[in-house]
Amino acid sequence: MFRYLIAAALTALALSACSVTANKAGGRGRVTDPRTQAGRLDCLRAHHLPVTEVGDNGLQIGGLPAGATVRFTPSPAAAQTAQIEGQEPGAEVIGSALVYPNQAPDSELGVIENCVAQGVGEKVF
Amino acid sequence: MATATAPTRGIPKMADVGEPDWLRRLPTWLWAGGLLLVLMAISAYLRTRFISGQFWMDEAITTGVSSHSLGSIPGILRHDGNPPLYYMLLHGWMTVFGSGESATHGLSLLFGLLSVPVGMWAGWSLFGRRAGVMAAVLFAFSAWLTYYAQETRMYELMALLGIIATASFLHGFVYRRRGYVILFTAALAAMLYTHSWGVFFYVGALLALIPAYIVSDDRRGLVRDGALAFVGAGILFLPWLPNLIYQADHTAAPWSRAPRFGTPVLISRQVLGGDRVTLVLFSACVVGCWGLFARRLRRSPEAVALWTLIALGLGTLLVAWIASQANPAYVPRYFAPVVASILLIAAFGSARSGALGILAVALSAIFLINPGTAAPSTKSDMRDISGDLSARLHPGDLVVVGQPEQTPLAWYYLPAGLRYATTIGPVRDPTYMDWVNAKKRLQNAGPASTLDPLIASLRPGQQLLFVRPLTVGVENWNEPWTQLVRRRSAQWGAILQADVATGVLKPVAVAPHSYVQACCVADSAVLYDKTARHHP
Repeated sequence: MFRYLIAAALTALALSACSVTANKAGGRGRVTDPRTQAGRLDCLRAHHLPVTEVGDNGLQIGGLPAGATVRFTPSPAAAQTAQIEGQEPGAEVIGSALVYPNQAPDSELGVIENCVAQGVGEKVF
Repeated sequence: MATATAPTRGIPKMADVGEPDWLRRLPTWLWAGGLLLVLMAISAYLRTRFISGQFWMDEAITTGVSSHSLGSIPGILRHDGNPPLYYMLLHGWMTVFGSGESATHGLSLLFGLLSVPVGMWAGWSLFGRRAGVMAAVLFAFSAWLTYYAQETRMYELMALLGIIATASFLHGFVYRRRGYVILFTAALAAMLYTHSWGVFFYVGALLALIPAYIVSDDRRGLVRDGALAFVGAGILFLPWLPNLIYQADHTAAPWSRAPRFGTPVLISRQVLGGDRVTLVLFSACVVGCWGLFARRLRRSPEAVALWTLIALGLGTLLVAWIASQANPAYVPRYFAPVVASILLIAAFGSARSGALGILAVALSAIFLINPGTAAPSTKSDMRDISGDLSARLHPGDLVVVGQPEQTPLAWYYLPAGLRYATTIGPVRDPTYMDWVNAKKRLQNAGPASTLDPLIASLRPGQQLLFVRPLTVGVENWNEPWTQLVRRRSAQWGAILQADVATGVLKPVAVAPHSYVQACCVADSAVLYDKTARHHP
């Protein structure tokens, strides 16, 4: 009988301990920033490009109007839709990113394109 | 030659399944012919599921080149990078059947279906009846052959010639049936005239002489026959050699990258049709061929034939791989010459592994019975773009193509009478792609200096259709050429956008209005009206 009492007490203790350590629901949200995802921003910086973050989803490499601009859309499909609908004729579509070459030199653009392409699926569509 | 099935020391005899009595009573020609008909019918079903599918750019280039007169095809191909045999055959085929998608795919389908009886002959005559039957099944269901039977390119012809060349090589140099040396010479020369990988096969076949030479009792005769065959094929190829050298110097595939070490994966997935097919066939081959590595069988004709097949396939791939480090041209569709050696090894190994081999071949066929696993339903969307916009286009309107090699595709689907330009500049003949120094020319073509005169050439009321590739995935867009294509398309788009802002151009339509996912390279298009306003 005594053994059962001890077992019951330990069980009750364990259950109450579970409830004590349980995390509160909610409050865990965190934004996945496409600029830092797959090391894109690190890649641009590693190549010593003067990159600044603009708003929630943009990058500016060098100054406008010459420097390239990158804007991340919510998904690759959104970026592709923008191209198909003729909304972004001046942008390269790489995954979910729209890359505006502006007047940046080819050598710099090659680095930017490669960095932005990091983490993009081999075959999105 | 009968298949050797005697157990080798250390290798237990495999459980086997014999043919039923009723089949044994039938004449060979009857059951073999019946089987071939059934296999070819199944193969025809598999290889026609997407036969009317729209072209992608390579097919349009091929059709465009072949639409020229026979005499002018070799000259045009100097700008392209391929030898002329297939284009000339397609020219004749189109004269009879037309130049539609189904019609031109039909020629590849014919070669694909012929590979079944030819594959059966190869397996049967080299390794015995069971290997012949298994080869016929493997060639009938081959994922690679199914894919390219619905493609207006030379790959299916190249694979068919590869079977003939491979089988006649083994007959002539391993089994010393000397009459086949002539057949090998002719097939080798035809391969050289069909695709540039014929050169790699040529060198691979030279390397594959080594196993036969090592065990030969008549090395002098073997060398003499080898010299006759290879020099003979070389002489037959001499007229095209200057073009080949010119092409190698000026038209190397700038869209491709030097290969690394993924060839086994490419063979497993692209040639054999998936890892599970590879697994079952490889297992049967290991079991079936293991005994041939035993000392007492190492110099047997079967062992030498196996080594020769391995050397032929690996040698060709190795030479292509090395050459592609300097001049990249290493993609699975070019593997046509080695399809024969891979499938014949599979048939040979399966035939020697008893019931396991039968199971392996049967499972391979089951795995490949779904045509969707082997061939894409949609390769591009240019036909849709044309369907959306053709009614709006008029003779004299300008089509600007962001990816220069897609110009023949636009030409194929858009109405006649249009003018064409690419991001390199105006295009005189849109039926083929001029690859000569293409990368350098695209690099040097400044977007504004190239596009502004083109826009200025339009009268008010005329239209400009800007077609550019969809580049959302990175698979096709990480080589120096394709990166530049993607970039230039955006730069040209920006200029057009600026012209819209200043009122010089007015966008009037976009396409496709419904995009069906394409396997290869798809496009979007914007149609602009030229207004009366002048360029600022």
